[in-house]
Amino acid sequence: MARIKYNKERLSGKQIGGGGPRDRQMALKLQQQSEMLKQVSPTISAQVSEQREVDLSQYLLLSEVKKKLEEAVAATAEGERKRFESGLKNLNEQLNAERKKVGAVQDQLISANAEIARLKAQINQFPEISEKARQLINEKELSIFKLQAQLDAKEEIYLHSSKDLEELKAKLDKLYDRIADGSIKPLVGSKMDRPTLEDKIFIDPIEKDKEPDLDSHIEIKEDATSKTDSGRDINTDLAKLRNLLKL
Amino acid sequence: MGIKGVGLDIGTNMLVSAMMNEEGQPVYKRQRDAFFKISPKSEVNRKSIKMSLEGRKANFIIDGGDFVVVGEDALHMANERNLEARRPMKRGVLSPKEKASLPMIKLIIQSLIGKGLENDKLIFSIPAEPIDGDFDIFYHTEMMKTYLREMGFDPEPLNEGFAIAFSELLDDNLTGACISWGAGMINSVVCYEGDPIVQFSLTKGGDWIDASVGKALDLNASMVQIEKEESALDLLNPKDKIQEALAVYYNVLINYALDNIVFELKRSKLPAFREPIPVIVSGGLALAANFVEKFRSEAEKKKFPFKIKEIRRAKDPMTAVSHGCLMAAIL
Repeated sequence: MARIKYNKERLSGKQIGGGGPRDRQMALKLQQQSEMLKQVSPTISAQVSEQREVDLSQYLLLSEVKKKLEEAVAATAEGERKRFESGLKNLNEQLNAERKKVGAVQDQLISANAEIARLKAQINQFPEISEKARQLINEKELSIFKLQAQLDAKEEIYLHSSKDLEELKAKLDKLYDRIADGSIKPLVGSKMDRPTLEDKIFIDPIEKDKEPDLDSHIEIKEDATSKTDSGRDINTDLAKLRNLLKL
Repeated sequence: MGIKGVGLDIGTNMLVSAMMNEEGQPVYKRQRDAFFKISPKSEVNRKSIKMSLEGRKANFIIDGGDFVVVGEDALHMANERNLEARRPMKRGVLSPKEKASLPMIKLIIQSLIGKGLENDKLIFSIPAEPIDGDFDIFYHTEMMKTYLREMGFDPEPLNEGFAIAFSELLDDNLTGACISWGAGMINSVVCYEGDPIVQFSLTKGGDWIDASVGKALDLNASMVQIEKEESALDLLNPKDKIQEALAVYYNVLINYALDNIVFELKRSKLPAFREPIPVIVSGGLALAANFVEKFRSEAEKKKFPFKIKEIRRAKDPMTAVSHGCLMAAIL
């Protein structure tokens, strides 16, 4: 480590800023760094001079770029204009065709009006014919009215018959049911008053006095699961049932 | 008992009673319709059997020297011994051939409904005439009437399907189709504004499924029945071989029932329904998970002579019939 010179005159007993050993140390460091920079500077300058120059020949000039852009814009605008004009032409053609059609319809209308006027004039020339036609129309209207009345009467008869038929059908259904459940016996092969075999007889197989003497040890408890899980309210259910059965 | 009137569902597999309690709420009781007879070999054996039955709190009847186990325990005890429990009812009706079981059925019914006072009104369910079999509903109805009269009631029969309508179609103007899927048979009714227009039954049901699965897998029908009822059967997601077989036979039965119902409805004189009508499914078989979904998917393939508004399960498939009977008794 280099020896630090401390040759500053001591003016008073007070400590002087900037002349102490640490300041001297700092000054020495700065000097060393400055020298290092001086040594590095020529090396960096040499490196900078070695950098290649940019070749501008491959780039266009600004004026040329501007020109190219203007050309592209012009070409696009021209294309769009042509497309628009073509569409416009097409629309014009369609419009013309429609105009022609309208003209034709108007011609037809004019000729139809002329025809109506001609026919009206003809009718006015022959008032007797129009009177006859009117009479004929009245007669036809009258007959239509009569036919309508007849139709209404027939419809009423038809409805009445349908109701009768429904009633008969219901009676027939009841009859079938009674035959099916045995309350009406078929007459084929039998007579109304003929005695029938009453084979539906129940005889208890257990003889009254001969029942075995059984000693029961059976105790059945309430089914708790059904009571709690079913979630029924029997009183509400009973009210609903009475209502449904109209009791 | 509160309001007088008793509803009684006499099913092939289950007897269910419904009556009103003091608070005016319906109370249901049920007992499985099965017996299992145990004959002791000695006096010591007799005492030990009695102690064992009392220990497991089983319901039983002492018939002379024999023990007749009743209900759920009969099924389980028979299954423990690899034997079949006795079923006094077949296909929905009592048979004169089951004479020996009749006193026991009387006892079970009495333990469900007690003794009637002043001829209390009692409505009991009966099946409709079968379209694929021939058996005597008259005998069954008359026998039940006789026994119920002896118990102090004024009994009246009511079609099982129509009882479901009383329970489930109150918000549908009593118009719709009710199908009860029981153990012995399938009961169908079509109602129009409170009028049962068509009613019929089919002689196949849960017992047929149990027997068919048992035959296919070489198993005891009682065991299949327990498996069916207690194994949380899901028809769309069977878990083992037995459940797979059960799902297959459920499917066969649903299709058989639907084909017959459509056939019978088409030849019946049905009114022109103004609006689509609901279809209610009830009974023990309807308790299986996804039963309604399975039934709906199969029903969509059939051509019903009316438009179906919805297919829904009864609020409680096990008590719907007895509830409908109770309603009819109170009216």
